[in-house]
Amino acid sequence: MKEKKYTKILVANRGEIALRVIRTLKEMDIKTVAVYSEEDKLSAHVLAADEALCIGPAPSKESYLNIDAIIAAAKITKAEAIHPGYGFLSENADFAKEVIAAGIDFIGPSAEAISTLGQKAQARAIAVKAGVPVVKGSSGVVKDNFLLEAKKIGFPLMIKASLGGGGRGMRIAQTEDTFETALETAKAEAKIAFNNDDVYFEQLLISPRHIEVQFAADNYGNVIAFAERDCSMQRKNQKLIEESPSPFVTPEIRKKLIAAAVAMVKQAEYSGVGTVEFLMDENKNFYFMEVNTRLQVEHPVTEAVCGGIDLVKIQIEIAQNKPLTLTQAEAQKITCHAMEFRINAEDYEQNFLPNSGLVSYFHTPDGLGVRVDSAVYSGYEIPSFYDSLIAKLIISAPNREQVLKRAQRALDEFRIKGLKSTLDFHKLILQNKKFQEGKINTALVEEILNEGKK
Amino acid sequence: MDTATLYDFIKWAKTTDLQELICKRGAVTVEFRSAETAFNSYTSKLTKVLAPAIGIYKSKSNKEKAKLEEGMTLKKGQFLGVVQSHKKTVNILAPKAGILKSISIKEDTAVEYNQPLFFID
Repeated sequence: MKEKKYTKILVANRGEIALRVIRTLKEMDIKTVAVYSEEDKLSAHVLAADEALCIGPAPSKESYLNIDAIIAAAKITKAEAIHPGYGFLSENADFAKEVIAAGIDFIGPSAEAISTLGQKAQARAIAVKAGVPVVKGSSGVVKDNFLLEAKKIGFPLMIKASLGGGGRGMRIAQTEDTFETALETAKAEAKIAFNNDDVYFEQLLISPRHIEVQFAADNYGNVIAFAERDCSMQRKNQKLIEESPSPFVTPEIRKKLIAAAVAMVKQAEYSGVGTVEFLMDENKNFYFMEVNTRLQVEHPVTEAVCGGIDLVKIQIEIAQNKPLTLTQAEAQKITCHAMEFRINAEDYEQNFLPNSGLVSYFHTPDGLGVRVDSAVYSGYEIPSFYDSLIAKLIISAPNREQVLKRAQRALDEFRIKGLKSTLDFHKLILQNKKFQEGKINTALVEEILNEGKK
Repeated sequence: MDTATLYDFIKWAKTTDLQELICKRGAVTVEFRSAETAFNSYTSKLTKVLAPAIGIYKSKSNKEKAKLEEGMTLKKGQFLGVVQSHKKTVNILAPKAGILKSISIKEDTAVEYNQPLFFID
């Protein structure tokens, strides 16, 4: 395989992640092309790129999800590769396929890997083959004898759409009595959302932790995996705070997590960066959940913990057919503790209602151990068409205790005027004793919210 | 106009959204501009024909060919060429009848979404 060197890359995304990718490309002396919707003319990623092209009107479907327009933009600008960021088309196998067919490189895994790992039942089968523990469940899609299969696993039971994601087509059957209704609802929802009503069953874990392992795999079969991220602080499957290392994971468990992730990636014959997500019960047993075949929002946490590595640079080097230079020992080294706070333009007191409009004043915190990834500036108008993430605050310090202190200090320095954000909710979380002690699970955010209402 | 009448007039004008008033004596011109038209008056009065997609402009499709010349008369809906994206081809049609004042695109050049291609009076 011949190594290559890109001279120009198109970034098919917007907001902070487009800016994040553009920054690395500049450091690698690669020219950058931004694409934007009519609504995003004055967005930071447009201003930062060497070239920028308007690809369509505001709705994502006609711009950031418009495969034809994005490939046309790459051809016009003679970009050699497309970086999809996260969200939008990043996990769309058809997009990856179209890009490659147009003679342009897709920075990410193969279309086949995206497609296989995107189908949950198939991904689960790969995990089983790789010897990675999975939650007790059906072997693949359940086609008939639904109740019999369900009883084999036991209640409470999770019914999941095979093509599911974001909680759609997912239903819990607490007992046998509610099983039929839950099954019908899940199938109906899956049919509408994914035009496919295939479902599979899994044992339901009560208030588990969400633990994930970032990995990188080159085109020569080398795979490395990093120290885990704990993303248990989430609301309705939306992550709010991610940290690494997990306060719950011991060095022995860490070794097992890393080994499981590497085995999974090798079994899937995957190349590129990605994340293997696990659920962990209170006895520290972990079970495979899914593979995210893209760069994740919370990747900066790993960048900090691993001593300032650049995961986007690794992604691009892999696409250029370079072998990994980082060893497994270096990858799993924990140089500090890090935490990411997602600042969303949402009013947490109004059930996290999204806000849009003019940000009259925007001042980000600074100083030792503080990183802010954001595309917002004073005077920027937040469009209502896209997701509500406006900034990621990443705090690092030698230990968790200092991270908490530093986070408090940085959140106090952060100023966002003009609209409501989740800044204050993060301050509230920092006051919570369980959170301070690292006793976190996927139910804690809801618990803190309910406490606030009392 | 005497000052008393002018005073009354200014008082009335303040109750409207008028931003500009032009009076001419010879052949009598009176022009009023509200907030909206005053803003628009800074841009061209010509009708812009915008690119319906990102891609390459071509004056012909496999069905039609546009023979365009500045100054020619256009019919509403007249074929002005196409934008070829990656796999899709989108027709460009005259949004109204009028004189083709300006052609601001060359054959086989790249256009962005919403880029002005023609101006019609």
